[in-house]
Order: sequence, then structure tokens, then C-alpha cells
Amino acid sequence: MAVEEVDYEQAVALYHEDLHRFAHSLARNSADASDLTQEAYCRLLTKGQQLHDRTKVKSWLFTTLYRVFLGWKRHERRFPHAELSTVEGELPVLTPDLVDKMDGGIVTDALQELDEHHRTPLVLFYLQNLSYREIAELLDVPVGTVMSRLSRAKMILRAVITNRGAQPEVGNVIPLPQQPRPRSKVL
Amino acid sequence: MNREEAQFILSAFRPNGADEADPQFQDALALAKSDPELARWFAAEQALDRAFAVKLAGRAVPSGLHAQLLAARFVARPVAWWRRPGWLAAAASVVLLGMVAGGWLRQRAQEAAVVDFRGAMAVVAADMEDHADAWGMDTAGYKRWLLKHGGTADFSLPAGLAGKGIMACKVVEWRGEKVTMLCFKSGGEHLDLFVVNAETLPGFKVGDTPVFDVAGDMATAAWRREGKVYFAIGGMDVARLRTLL
Repeated sequence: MAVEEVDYEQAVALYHEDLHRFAHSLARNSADASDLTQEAYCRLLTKGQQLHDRTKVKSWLFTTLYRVFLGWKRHERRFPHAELSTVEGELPVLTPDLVDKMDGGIVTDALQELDEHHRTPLVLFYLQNLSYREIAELLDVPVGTVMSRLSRAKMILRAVITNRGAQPEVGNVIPLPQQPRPRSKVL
Repeated sequence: MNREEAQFILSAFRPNGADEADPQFQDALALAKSDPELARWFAAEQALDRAFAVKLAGRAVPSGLHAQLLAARFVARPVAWWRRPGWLAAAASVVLLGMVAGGWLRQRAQEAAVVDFRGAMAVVAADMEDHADAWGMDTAGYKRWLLKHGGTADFSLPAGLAGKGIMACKVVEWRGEKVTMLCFKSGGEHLDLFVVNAETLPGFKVGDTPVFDVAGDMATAAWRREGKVYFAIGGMDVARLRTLL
């Protein structure tokens, strides 16, 4: 189905919030996230004729937004990139209850500390719109790479949150239990 | 498949169950049913993933974004250029000048070609439905793309535009000649720069210093440098365009 037949309003209603959340994880600020989201939808309007399968609107929008981000990043250097120091060691223990009690900002801030290679697939995974195969297509990497990055990204995220919980000067962090001895090797 | 391999695969299993039918997970899921320790790990992993997903889904989205995206339908598909009052005047100018040039000497024909070129490029710039063909590259990548598509790639950008970086590009055909179009974005403003070999437009009497003009509700600038004619056009006033070059 060509773009003219795509229900634009429906595409906005269904995906704009998760697209903005994805964009926020990339750009790290709300204003640029809004710009990226708008650009993705603008391209749906102006370039959507490339889209011949209506069922692909969702992945097309996510992929387009990501490519726009990469393009802007190359040209404008508007998105500072901070590498997270390597986290090695045991998988930190976090329970769903602890996460439930956390302020959402703590989780999203912790996500921002992940380097882009890990943060991007993990955010897409948690948004749950795309399968690992679709994430692999979006990032243009093999499926195994996505699985590997997801596994490691989860470990890093938990380590970041756990470490924040161990720092008394950081407010609003639920204290976490002491970490057990290493249980498994990092993948 | 052993337990660690199953864990690796199941780490990519979305907590909303959307992957239940995916054959890639079936062996790992089957193993989880027969291995109590793996089953406990998987249940805990899914619960934690679900908790993180809920937190991420709770991140607020700007309240006006939905309305802005819906409104974009009316600006992303502009009114056809020939229906705009400004373009009507511009088109009339092109037609009138074209008619005049038809009965004059070669010089007049060359001048008419310039007018035609300016009008044609303005139409290309105003066409937002098929605006550009290549995005997301660095300058070297755009140059390779342009060369591959027959465009002019040995252009020299003014310092102001060079600092902004090219956002997209396209090769336009005008009277059988390839014209390079480079797109730039500055804030919310869009600017297109057309580059063509100077011998294509001998009537374009401009020098190194940009000459500014208006075309409808758009500002233009033209200059010549190292055998190339540059023609910039953007939806802004001349004063603003001057600051970008």
C-alpha cells in the first residue's frame, strides 16, 4: 500500500510517543527528540511513497528516525557522546519491585549513561515495538550482534543503577542490597 | 543448546510476549520448561524487563507534539508553487522575459536562460514531496554520491554553509545539464544551493561576491567561483540569507 493510503493520523496516534522516547534516548534532550520525531513523520509525508507495505510503517518510522539522527550527528555534532567506562564483573542484582519503586527519571537517566551501541537496541527492546530481527535491520547489524548487545546492555544498565544506589549523595535512589559474589561471566 | 546459550537467546525475548511465535526462541523456551533453574531465571528476567519497560513507557512526551505532527500535514505538502501568488508573479516574469528573449540576440537568450534557470531551480527548491535523493552522509560521501550520479562535486562552499554541513543532496537535470543541489538546515529554516558549471550559464553575470534577490517569498543569492555558478535559495528574507553565506 502506497504512502497516500497510509493513515497518517493513525501512524501519529500509534507511534509518536514511543518514537519520541526512542529519539530522546538518542539525542538525550527533549527538544532534539521532538525535532527527530517531526522529521521522521515529515519524511513519511514526503517520502512515504517508498513504503509499499502498510504493515511496515512502524519499523519504517523507527528506521527513518534513526537514520536522520545519524545524519544530523555526523553533520552537526549536536549530540555529545559520552562513553561509559567498561563495566565488567558480575551481573548486579535488581528486583522488579525495586525498579517499580524507582522514579522513572532514574531509569531513563541511567539509560543515558550507556554508550550508543548498547543504549539504542536496549531502548528499542524495552519499547517493545520491534523484534530483535527488526532491531537488527534498523541498526544494520547481524541478529547475533543485537542479542549480544542486549545481553550486555542489560548488565550495564543494572550495574549503573546499582552503583547509583550505592552512592549516598545521589538522591531518590532506592538503596539496594549488597551485591553477591560474581555469578557469571559477562557475555 | 545449554543453559547459558538459552539465556543468551531469551535475553532478546520481549516481555510483552510478542515473540512467542518466533521459531528462534522455541528451543530455548522448551529448555526453560524442562530446566527449573532456567525457568526461574527467565521468569525473573522477564519481570525485570517488564519493570524497565514500564518505566520507559512512562517517560513523558511533550504535550504539543501530537498536534504539531498532525499539523505537519499542511506544511509538509505545500500548496503547488503555481498556485502561490508570489509564484504567479515569478512565473509571469519568466514567461514575459522568455518571450522577450526569443526575439533578441544571443546575449538576450543567455539572459533568458539565466531567468529560466533561476525559475526552474526555485521550483525544485519548493518541491517538498520529492526534495532530495541522498541523506545522512558526510561531505565526502555526498561528493561520491554526486559524482556517481553525474552531478558537480568539486564545489566550494561559503564558510557559513560549510560550517552547517550538508543535510541532503540531489542531482537535477536542466536543459540536459546536470545541476547539483545541496540542502542545508539552519534552525527551522531550509536553504538549497544549486551548483552548475559556469559555461552552462554564460549569461549569469555574477562575480565572487553574492548578488542577492528575491523570488516570490524566497530569498536568493548567486555568485561565481572557480568555474562554477552558485545559486542559493531559501524561504527567508535577504538579510537572513546574507548571514548564512
